[in-house]
Amino acid sequence: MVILGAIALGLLAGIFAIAVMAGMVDERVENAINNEVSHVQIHHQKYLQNDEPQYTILNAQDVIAEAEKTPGVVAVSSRLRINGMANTSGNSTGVMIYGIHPEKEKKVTKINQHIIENTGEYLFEDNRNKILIGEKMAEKLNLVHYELTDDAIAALEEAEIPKDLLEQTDTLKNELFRGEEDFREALEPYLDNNEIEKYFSSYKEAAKIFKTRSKIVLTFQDASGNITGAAFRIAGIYSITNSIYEGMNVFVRYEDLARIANIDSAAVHEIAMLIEDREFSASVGNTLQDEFKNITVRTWKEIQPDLALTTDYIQITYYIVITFILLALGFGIVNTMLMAVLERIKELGMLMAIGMNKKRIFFMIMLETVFLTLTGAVVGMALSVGVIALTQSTGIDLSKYAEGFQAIGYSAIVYPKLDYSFFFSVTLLVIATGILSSIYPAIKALKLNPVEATRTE
Amino acid sequence: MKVIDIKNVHKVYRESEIEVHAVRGVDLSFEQGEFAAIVGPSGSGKTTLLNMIGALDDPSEGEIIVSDTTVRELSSSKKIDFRMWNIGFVFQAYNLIPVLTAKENVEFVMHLQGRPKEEREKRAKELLEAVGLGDRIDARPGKLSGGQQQRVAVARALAAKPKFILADEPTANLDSKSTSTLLDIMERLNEHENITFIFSTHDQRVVKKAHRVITIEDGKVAKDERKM
Repeated sequence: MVILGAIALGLLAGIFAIAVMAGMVDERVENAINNEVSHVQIHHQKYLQNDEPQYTILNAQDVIAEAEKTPGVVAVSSRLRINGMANTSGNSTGVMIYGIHPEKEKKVTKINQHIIENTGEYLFEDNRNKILIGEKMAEKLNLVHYELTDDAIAALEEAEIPKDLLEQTDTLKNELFRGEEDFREALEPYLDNNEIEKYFSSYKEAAKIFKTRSKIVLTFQDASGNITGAAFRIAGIYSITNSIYEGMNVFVRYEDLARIANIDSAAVHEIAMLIEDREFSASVGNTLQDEFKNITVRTWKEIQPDLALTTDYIQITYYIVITFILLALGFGIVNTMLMAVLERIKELGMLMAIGMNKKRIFFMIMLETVFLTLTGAVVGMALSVGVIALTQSTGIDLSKYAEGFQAIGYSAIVYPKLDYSFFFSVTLLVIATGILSSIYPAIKALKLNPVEATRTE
Repeated sequence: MKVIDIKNVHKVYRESEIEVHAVRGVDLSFEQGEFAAIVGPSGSGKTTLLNMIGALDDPSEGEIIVSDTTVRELSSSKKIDFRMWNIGFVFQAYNLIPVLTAKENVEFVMHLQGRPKEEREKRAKELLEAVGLGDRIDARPGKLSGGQQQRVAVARALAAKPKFILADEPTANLDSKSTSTLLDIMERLNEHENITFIFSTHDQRVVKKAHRVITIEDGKVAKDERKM
């Protein structure tokens, strides 16, 4: 029973850890595809080396029409994409400006589903000179203020901040702080270092106020190489799980960007496509690449090689983790079976005396070990399936570390996930471990002398 | 008919630097249908002799010939087969398989011999009835008394249809009543079925029943008495 429990718990721990890793990576990939890169992107051949506005895709409408016809393609959006600067009265920062067709874009990227409450809304076709910015960009441009309003204090109470702290910081109520640093400094007399460490992110989130009525001036080079620009009013602020992306990318209407950049109204810098299954990205991409010259088609794996590497690496990690677990279990099994052999010296000796040959004794010990291991494995895997299913529906909340996770593009709520084919591989590995672990105890059993064995009391 | 022929058998154990002479030149033979007891004080070499007769151990010198087969010349795997087909064992501690029923324990050796299921079941039932356990065939050893377990062990020893049965202190763990029942059963099997029994024992109750008593002292045959 002890060894069964050890096998079951060992596998549960290993499989669950792998499922958490797999869930994190899968979610990162899905988020990256849905919010950032989509499955396949097409650009003018030269645009990727030098993203100048003049490198628009030749015969873009033909490419789009062909892409829409390609089997497996769910949605296609065309964009302008220009490097520029964003300025507010408070600050300025470099940006990538996307000119999008809001309705078509909705079908490819899901930014429209990530607009922060009370910050506005997604772009509409008739929203002239409106801009969608990321939360991180808002912080960079000093468009985030902090104020302990009644709502903020209620949110803090809900986040279970100790009452005495809230009473102390109540003196800051309704005072406006123009930046994160100012707010932190204001809190420091009331919170010691540990408390700042523990509660500042909650205070920050609760007290956050976006200056959504602000204007942002975008400046960039037009198609002729002249500096141009225009003022945009904030339509909404989006928040996804990748703060680097949020801090770099803004969205405006295609018509506005084309007009200001003096680009032909049918010109396209980037075509993004969503495909039924991400595994088919390469085949869809190849079909289009063969069809059209002068374009470069890239799949999500080529656009974000770090993600491709992570997904490939995670597969190797699965097997490394499970190998170590099985190795540890293997030693446990050897020990248990050796004990079992020693405890049954009399029985084994009797079997040898009455005519059970060595081959049968060897296979008897081996089968016993494999059954023991398999039983433990089945229990462990059943528990894993249960725990994964449970945590998959609720998610594991790591929002305490949200800032760190979002800085590297990962969601703070992890939904463990595991491919069922993995369980099949684990079963095979467990059987192999059982067989290997049985060899030594089985050999020990064969070395028993039936005379000694029958004599033992 | 001679079943066992023991010729000048010696057994020397080497324990580190010291040589222990457990058996020193024993010459004996057993005929089909004997009911013999090997007796002697502890350490006299009777169990060693029994192990050599049972092909569990090899003599250091001399030969043991069982039905024209020189046991020492057999390879270890052939010895296992030889034991299975020729020798039945009854151990002091019964040594039944605890997870099997009485019937399954008896069937086990026939299973090793590759006998068909119907034959195994029929013979196991008959043998258990012969040892007076016809009503306990489905009981596991844990549910049987020591005497009953030893009777199952006798039935198991008989199951393989061996040429003779070796019983090492078969009554050592039994009370008087169980001993008497067991001995009666073995005596009956010996008389009616002409089965050869060889015991090693300290037990005077066994000695009294035996038709031949061989006394071993210091590894040698001190006395060999036939009662009939």
